[in-house]
Amino acid sequence: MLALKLALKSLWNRRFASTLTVASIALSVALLLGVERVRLGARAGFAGTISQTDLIVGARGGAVPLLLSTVFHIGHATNAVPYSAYAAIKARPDVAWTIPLSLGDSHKGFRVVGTTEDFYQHYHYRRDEQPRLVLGHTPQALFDVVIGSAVATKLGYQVGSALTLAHGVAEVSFQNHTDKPFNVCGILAPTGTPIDRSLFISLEGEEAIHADWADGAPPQSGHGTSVAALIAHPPAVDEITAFFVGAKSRGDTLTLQRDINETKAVALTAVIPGVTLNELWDLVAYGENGLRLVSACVVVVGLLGMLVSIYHSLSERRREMAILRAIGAGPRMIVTLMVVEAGLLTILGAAGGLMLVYVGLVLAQPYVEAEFGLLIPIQAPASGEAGYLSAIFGLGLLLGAIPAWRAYRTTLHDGLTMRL
Amino acid sequence: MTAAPAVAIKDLSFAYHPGRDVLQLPTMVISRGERVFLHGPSGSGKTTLLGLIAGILRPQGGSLAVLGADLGTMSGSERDSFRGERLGYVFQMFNLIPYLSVVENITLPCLLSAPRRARLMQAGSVASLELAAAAIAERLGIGGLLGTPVTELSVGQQQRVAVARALLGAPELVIADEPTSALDSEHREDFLRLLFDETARSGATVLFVSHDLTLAPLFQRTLSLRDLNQVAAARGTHA
Ligand SMILES: Nc1ncnc2c1ncn2[C@@H]1O[C@H](COP(=O)(O)OP(=O)(O)O)[C@@H](O)[C@H]1O
Ligand SMILES: [Mg+2]
Repeated sequence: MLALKLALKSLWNRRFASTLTVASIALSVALLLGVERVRLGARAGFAGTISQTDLIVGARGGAVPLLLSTVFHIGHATNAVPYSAYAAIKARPDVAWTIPLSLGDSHKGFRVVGTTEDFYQHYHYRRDEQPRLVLGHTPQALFDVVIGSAVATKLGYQVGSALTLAHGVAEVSFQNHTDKPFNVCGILAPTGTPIDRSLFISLEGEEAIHADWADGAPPQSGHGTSVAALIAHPPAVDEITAFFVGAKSRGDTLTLQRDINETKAVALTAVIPGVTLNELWDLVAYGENGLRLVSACVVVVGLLGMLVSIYHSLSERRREMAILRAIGAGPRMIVTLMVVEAGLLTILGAAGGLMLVYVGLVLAQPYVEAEFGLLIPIQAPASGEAGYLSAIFGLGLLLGAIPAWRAYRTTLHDGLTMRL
Repeated sequence: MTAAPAVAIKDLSFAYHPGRDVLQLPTMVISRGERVFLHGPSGSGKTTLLGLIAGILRPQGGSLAVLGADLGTMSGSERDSFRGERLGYVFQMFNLIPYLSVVENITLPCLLSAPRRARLMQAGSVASLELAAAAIAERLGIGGLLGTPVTELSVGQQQRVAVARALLGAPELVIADEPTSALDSEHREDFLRLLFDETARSGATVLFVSHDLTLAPLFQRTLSLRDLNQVAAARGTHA
């Protein structure tokens, strides 16, 4: 208790230096905890991009490319799924619902997804959130398009805007479907998922813009079916790119997956999104660990700064030590005093760091969510963070023991002579 | 049975570095209640001897008994508690902990040593440590300075605070290492008078060190370290 009181007064007496030390520890701790929060937020956001979907099914191929192209709209599937194969699976008794997807077109760098009402009814993200229209309605007409929130804000579209889609998914496309303009019929609320950066049309619409195409090339101008004719007789959908499946019960998923993967008639691949998401995350975990390592190093540097400052203060405090010795303080008291000082600086630094993290979260959370689609929840420190903080505290005490040891040696050797 | 002498030294030797003795004292005895003036030129080992008597340095040869306690056989922490409980020490200057107030400086030894505090509370009719500190500060003429930061005190005021701190809790032996060398001659005598008044109240022994012989007549007995210390004598012959 006495040591605590003396250490506090001593630190207060050197409050400028102490404040700097605490601030540097606080900043490094805030960096470590901040990186950790962003990491966990990113992981949760990533894992929450798709939920309640039991299987993703596409043409035979790798699991990761299938997940990337259907959920994250990265890369694209080359092979298609015959509509009949899709219909067969959709009709199975153990299948509760399906969401067909037809991919491959884009608009000014944003992906276009051809799908059905099923998407608005069954797609879930972040556990139980669903895409929700803030304006308008889902595509009813052949050339209706619903746009994600980022598409609306970045391109300034409103309900009623007209736009043309481009063939392929490159940012700049030379093959535009200019002959078939679409009409914005609805705008989705922000989701913090790739949905925000996508446009949604009907499967028939997707089919219609490619009407009369042969071997991947558009018809010669003036030779295609007219828009009016397409609307009057919408083309039949004969293939899709992939589809999501919700099983009647969780227990059916594995049987369903095996059945689909083993179907001889069509070569299909069914993957469980959660499993593939984890595989994918493990791929990026290397970079993640590197980031953590760097921020841990920053904390060590912050604590070394404290060590330097305490060590430095020792030379001007030799007199203080000698006085304490003369009035009956043993070396143990001197050591305790130094270690308590280091402990106080570390605790104050850690508390300051934690506070900085929360202040930073409150200030930056809306911006980060809007700009990066990353929702970092403001919640009580997790147990992992408590672990970090106690490790930092322990390290602080350990480092405090170094100047303490030095002070101990000095007081033993100096006796009562004040050598300056 | 009479109390053991305040200090009893026999063949005491000490070196900071092996083989280079700073002190070799065949005998030296100070009785209880005595006021002794110890003088010697700078570098003759006065501070070193006080460090040994205070139990901060460990004797390396011979015997050293202080207030009946054989310091040569005590452990470091035993000597620390012994010093905290039964001694008072005043330095030449810069006696005070800069980040504590006057009253906090005065009461610190009694906070560090529980027996010293207990003795103070039993002996006097004082209600609290702070009141006891205020009383002694009053007698030393620094009663108005209790809440002042010590960095705002004059040297003379600082030395009085140091005396108050050394004396609170009625230590049996008060050691002062050139406490007046930073004071002018008028203040020196004032300072000594206050010190003697206070030690007379408790019957404490005073061991006062200085190289300034003009103060010697105020003491009952004067010791010369140059005469006592065989190392210094040896040096003297070489000079
Ligand atoms: N902590 C120390 N380490 C090594 N040598 C010391 C130390 N303190 C004092 N000395 C040496 O011991 C001798 C006696 O010093 P000291 O006791 O301070 O003398 P005085 O107090 O009489 O001036 C001197 O030669 C001094 O250099
Ligand atoms: Mg000296």
